Amino acid sequence: MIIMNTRMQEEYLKIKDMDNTFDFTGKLSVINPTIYKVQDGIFMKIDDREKESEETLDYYDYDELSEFEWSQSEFLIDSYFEGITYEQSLRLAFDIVELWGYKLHAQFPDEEFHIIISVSTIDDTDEKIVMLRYYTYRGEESFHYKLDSLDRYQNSAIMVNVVEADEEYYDDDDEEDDDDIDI
Amino acid sequence: MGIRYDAEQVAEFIDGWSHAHEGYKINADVLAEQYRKYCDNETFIGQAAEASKLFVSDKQMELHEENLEIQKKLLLRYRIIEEDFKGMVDSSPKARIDTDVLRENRDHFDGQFEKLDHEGAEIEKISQYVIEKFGKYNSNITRTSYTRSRKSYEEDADFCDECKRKVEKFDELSLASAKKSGLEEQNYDLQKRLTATTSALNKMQVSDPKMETSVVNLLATGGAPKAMKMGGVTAQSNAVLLNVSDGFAIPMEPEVWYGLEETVKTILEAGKYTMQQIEAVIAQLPALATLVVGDGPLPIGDLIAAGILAADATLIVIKTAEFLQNNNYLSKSKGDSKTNSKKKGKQKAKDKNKEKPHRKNKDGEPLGKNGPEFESETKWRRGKTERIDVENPNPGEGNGNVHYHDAKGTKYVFDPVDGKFYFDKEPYPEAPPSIQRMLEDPEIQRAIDKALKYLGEPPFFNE
Repeated sequence: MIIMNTRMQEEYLKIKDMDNTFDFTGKLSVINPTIYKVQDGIFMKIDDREKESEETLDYYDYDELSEFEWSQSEFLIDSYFEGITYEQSLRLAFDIVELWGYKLHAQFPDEEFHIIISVSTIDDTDEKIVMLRYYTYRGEESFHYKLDSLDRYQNSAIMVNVVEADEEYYDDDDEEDDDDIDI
Repeated sequence: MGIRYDAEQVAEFIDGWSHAHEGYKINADVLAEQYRKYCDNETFIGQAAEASKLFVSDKQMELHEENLEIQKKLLLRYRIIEEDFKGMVDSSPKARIDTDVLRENRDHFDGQFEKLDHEGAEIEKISQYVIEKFGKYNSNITRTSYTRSRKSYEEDADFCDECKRKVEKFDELSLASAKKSGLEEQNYDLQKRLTATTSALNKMQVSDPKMETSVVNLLATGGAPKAMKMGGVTAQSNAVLLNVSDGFAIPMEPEVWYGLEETVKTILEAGKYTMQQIEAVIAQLPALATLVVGDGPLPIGDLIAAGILAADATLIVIKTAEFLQNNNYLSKSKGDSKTNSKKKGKQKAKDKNKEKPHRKNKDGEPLGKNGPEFESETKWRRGKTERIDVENPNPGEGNGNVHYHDAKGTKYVFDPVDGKFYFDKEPYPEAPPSIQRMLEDPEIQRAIDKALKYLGEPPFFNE
């Protein structure tokens, strides 16, 4: 499910009919990254990024992992592709989030992922940058974007690809059971 | 495995080593001064005293000076390698090469070229046929030729080969030059003599009924920082409890011990700090440094007598409590619990008291609490990756922050309370000096101030 704010809808109109002809030679790890799990955190290894370690994840509670994944997954498209224009970046971004969505779902079908494209303009310039990031949705108590009010992000164009978990992985009783909450 | 070289990483390593070396030299000078004072101490007399003084003045100083010499040569060797790479391969400060990648690219080129050559030839034939058959009806038909593309592929392939040749030659010459310098043998020889000296010292019997048994692990010169166990160490399952026995009251001269401002206080309690956290503290120390942590007055005399200084270890005694507190170690107690597998819909209640550090203003409020809601904005950028970003996706919930990405994309969060950069992941150690120096750049200062203003916070640098 794709959700865009108004600004992203405007940007999308500019590129939706573009063909994606950019050359990915040598950059396949961007399109097809290695996805790995450390404890309960889900991460991507793109290009020469270092993998997260067990020692680092020891510090994080389960509810903190979404924000950590979001924080560490920042990915600027034009930092990986030489000479790419803004429009090409955005066009490519739409394909990448779709591919990432398939890959994440294939490996972790019982998880819900939010994969984000954001476009912002660098201060004092006309230069726009396209950033991708993601997190695993871990419920209302964990870090997440408010998907029904993305227009509140006033200066950025935002798109969220919501990759839903397979229905069979939902518990029959979806209500919170007080006995399971640790205070 | 291929040959890899990253000019930025090398420059950063040499920078860090050089910085550590400078710190080491300062401490080494202090140590040498201590040796001289020890030898000049006229109240310490007798046969044993004279033998001890002779050992320190001759043997100890010799080992000490030789160690300094080796460190200096090592630093020079690193610089030579760096300059050789610039001269022989690529002078760019951002040069990066990996012969495995080059080989892969070359293979890819070869595959592509073969395809182009074969299919191109087919197309050229068809083009020729079309011209011959229909050229008389239309003189504007252009003959298709892949000659330029072929040449371009050949040039690219030659370039790959040339890069590989250059870096292989550089690697071969650097290795030969390093071996020829004799540094390895010199260092090995020094280590052997240090070990022999340590062993001889350890065999000495020191009679003092008040002293507890000390377990001292002497460090190899140039080794990584290690936590030393002092008299009365009790290692528990997840903490190191350091206990200095009572009765030592040797006054300390602050100017002698680098970083020491007051007596180290009791800071560790059993079970409260894990070895990981202590190791994170140790990681903050410059190379060749040793952390000594105690919970009472430090027995300086015993350190000398026990031969710790014989190893030329640099002692840094810090106000550990304050250091740990400033780096947010004191409030953490992770324990050994691991999270369970997630069951959909069943969540742990969030610990509201657990906050991410370096995301508060000077009033203790979350950054951006009263600022606008936005995902991520870039306030300044240099090159492909280096930039200052500001985030505030959920105002007031503690994720508003200003951070810096270096040229490699590593993320450092800016703390507007102390004005420093920190790694943006647990346990949030302070960023290395080379990153802190970025804060001297007026462009970065302006960008940070802009970012803070965007969050609705006062500027830090130019108020």
